[in-house]
Amino acid sequence: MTVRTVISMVIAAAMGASGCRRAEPLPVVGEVPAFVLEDQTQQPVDLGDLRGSVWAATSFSTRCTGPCATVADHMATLAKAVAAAPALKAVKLASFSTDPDADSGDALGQYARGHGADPARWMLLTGPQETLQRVVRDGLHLPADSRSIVVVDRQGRIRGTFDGLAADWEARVRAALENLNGEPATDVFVPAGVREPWWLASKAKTQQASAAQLAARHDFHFTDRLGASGITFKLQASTDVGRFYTANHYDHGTGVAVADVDGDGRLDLYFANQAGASALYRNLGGGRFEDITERSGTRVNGRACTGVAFADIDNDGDADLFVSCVRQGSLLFQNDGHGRFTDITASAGVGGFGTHSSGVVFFDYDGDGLLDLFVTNVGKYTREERWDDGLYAAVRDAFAGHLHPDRSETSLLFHNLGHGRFENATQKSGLVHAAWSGEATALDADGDGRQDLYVLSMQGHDEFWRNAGGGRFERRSRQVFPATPWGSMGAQVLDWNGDGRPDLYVTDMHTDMSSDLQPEEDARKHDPKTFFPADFLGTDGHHVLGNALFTNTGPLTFVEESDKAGVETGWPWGPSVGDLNADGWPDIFVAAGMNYPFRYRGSDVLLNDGGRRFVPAEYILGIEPRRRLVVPWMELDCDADVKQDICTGEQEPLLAEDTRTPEQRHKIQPRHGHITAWAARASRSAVIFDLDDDGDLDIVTTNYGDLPQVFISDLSQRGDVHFLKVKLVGRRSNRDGIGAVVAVRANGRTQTLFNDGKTGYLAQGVMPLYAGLGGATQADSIAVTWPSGRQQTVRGPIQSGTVLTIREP
Amino acid sequence: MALLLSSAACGPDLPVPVDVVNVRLVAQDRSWHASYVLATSAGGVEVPTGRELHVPLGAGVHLALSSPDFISTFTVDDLDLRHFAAPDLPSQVTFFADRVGRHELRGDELCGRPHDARARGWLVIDRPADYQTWVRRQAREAR
Repeated sequence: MTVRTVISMVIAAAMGASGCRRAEPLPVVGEVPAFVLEDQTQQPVDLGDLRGSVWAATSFSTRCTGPCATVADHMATLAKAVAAAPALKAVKLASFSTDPDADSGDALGQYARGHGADPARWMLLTGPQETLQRVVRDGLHLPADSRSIVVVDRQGRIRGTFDGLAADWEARVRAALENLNGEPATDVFVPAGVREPWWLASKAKTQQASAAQLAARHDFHFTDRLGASGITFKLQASTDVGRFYTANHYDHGTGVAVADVDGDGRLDLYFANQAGASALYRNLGGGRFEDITERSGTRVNGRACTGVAFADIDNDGDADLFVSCVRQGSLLFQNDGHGRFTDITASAGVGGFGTHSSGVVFFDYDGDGLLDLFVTNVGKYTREERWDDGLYAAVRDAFAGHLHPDRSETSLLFHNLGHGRFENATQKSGLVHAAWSGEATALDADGDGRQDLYVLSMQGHDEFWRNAGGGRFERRSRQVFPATPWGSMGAQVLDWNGDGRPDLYVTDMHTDMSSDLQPEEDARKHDPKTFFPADFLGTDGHHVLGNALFTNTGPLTFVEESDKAGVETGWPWGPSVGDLNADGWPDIFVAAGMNYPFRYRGSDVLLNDGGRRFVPAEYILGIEPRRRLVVPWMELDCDADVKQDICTGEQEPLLAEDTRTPEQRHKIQPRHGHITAWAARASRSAVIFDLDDDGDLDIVTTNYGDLPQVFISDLSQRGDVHFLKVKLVGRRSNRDGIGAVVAVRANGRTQTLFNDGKTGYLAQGVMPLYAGLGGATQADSIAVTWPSGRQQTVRGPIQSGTVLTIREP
Repeated sequence: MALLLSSAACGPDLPVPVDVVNVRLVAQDRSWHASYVLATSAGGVEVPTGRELHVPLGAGVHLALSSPDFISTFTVDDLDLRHFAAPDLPSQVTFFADRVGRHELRGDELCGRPHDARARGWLVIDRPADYQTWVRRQAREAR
């Protein structure tokens, strides 16, 4: 027991349990370290989940027979008291495992049931040993078999430690909890009702009821196992967005990419960050990861980054890494094949441009077998001042940047010269693109074997650059795509209808800023009458007022079918494509939602119904709703931040049905002291891959100002799942085979996969192609069209479950 | 056509035009700030009218939109008007006041706080006599 703990116990004892006089405030004796764990139902729990609540903490073990067994019984008693006593309303209990190997799965579930531990009130937390040690032993000062009960206030501060075996333990602990519960609440939820949206239950119920009519396979479930994964990365929002909300492009977030960086056969994860450090997690198998950022040499901090791409730039068989950043320079890291990287930005000639860089696309545009690099630049949305976090402050009118020609930035095309060197080929290629672009994707739209480029614009028309050969591009935008979304964010190439041609799905977020659609309208296009004013668009006005699905019907011929196919979604960022139900048809995950000060919107899962249409299934599959819809967004000291809206009282929680007059609203009282402002959780990027190597596809997301989600699919546990994984090794083509087209023939039909490496919003990766086979237990053949033009056919039967490496002849 | 305000003590002592009306409308700090320049024998007087602006029936109206801080949409659904105000991008909205009535003016900060009541205002189309009365009162209160 530490000196500090003894002192706090003495103080707590001196306070006594009397309820007659007003109790003295308990002293602050420490802070609970941040953690990410999971509860007895395998739901992730982080420190933010407990913020805003007073809570009591203990350590436990399912195998404990000593004092901690008695303390566990006392916690059960306390849980009943909390449920019954108004003075303990909203108090929570958290017991942390000291033996996570034993305290998991069935054993933990049985222990929870035996103690009547309802996770809504009493969480039994387990997870990685090192996390638990850091929190339990070093933070809460609770050793194994501890007899102590720690009380924590709404801000995560330790306010006392009590002897859980003392005769009067209950009176003392209850008194302390009541004391803390009586302190003024410091939480403001913006907008009001964001914690429990009125529409959520009915939307979930309606979708779940529709499952009976759903032809696409949906008898499986995703569980967010972040707490067991060992991933603690948090996407830190810039000061502009996270501290003083101003609308600008920082809130577009960052990407997450996968590749096997160390050659151990498992797919690792890299998260780009904005106001915090990036992170590289090595996949240990079984859904667990270790942070290898430092030893890999890929840590990026002190600059706002956006996109991330793994690609083999030197054809040596390993995944190199490019990270795009804002103003302070993008970075290129070369892999030594063992997961140790060297920053070669300067020698490679791809850094130091000082632009607001975003999307990253590796593709071989000149067919020389080396992956070239296209980096989209958004445009100048920052000014010269910097915040304390080192990031450049944003301008307040960032979303009118497209109307200021002096703020535009030309995107960058780098030609790979080999030996880790690139040349800036932007001008000589003719691909001089100066729209406000956060993303791009490569596809062969005219079937000539060359990779064209579709470059999204988030404030204007998307542009289509046809690869004319000879290292030259020609702008064919309006001829091929007469109308595009105005506010495009992400894109994916897929063959959604099974005709073998590359179709293009584009998500449009910025159009959702033009009018405030209600929850029941998320799947609708915007009304032209409420779209942006014509003089704001800066275009000819011919736009798809939401997401677009361009179905390819022939060379350079596309038909927009988003409504017919049912792929309109609310506040979308990035789409990712994968065959989530392994039925041989590509499904779509759309990372979605906006944080402060907007209402909650969930991410979307669109299951492909046999190439006829897509059907929403996020509530059916367990992706939505999140257990907690809000995240602590701003920590304010209203005695110092007197001008902040929330402190002045002007920023009252917002209600759509608010009928107060402006004058009435202005009479809101100012706030004082510490305030936590909570906002809606929202995703940005996602990657779909077989994280735990069990034969089905899992999903990892990034969430702005928040922790990721690690959705593990149980499809493979529900019965036979038939699939193939195809790794491509180019020889004359680039080694990753980027640009190859793979046609898998099984059960009388062919599915076509495009190996463009594009895994999601702001991300590119190196991973096997995944082909679900539906009911077929084998494939008849796999035909590969390599970027070099070579055709190759692997004849079957190829048994389901095979991981096939196809080398270019 | 021009009308003459009856009392120099109210501020403007020169005719107040009712066939063409110029209003300066600034979106600032998420609120509308309208102002009129009224002619007096001593020169122009700027009269701020807050979130409410009035125009006379039958007038050609020119609203000079601007904003020193955020981007704000400018919407009067009743009159099918949609424009925007943004820093360094002054713009002009021109319309013919052909319907007497009180029309809600909305101005949402782009990607800002939805339903911000402060950003609401009123565009009122008066009969010319009522417009005169309103102008007179505004000028008096502004002194």
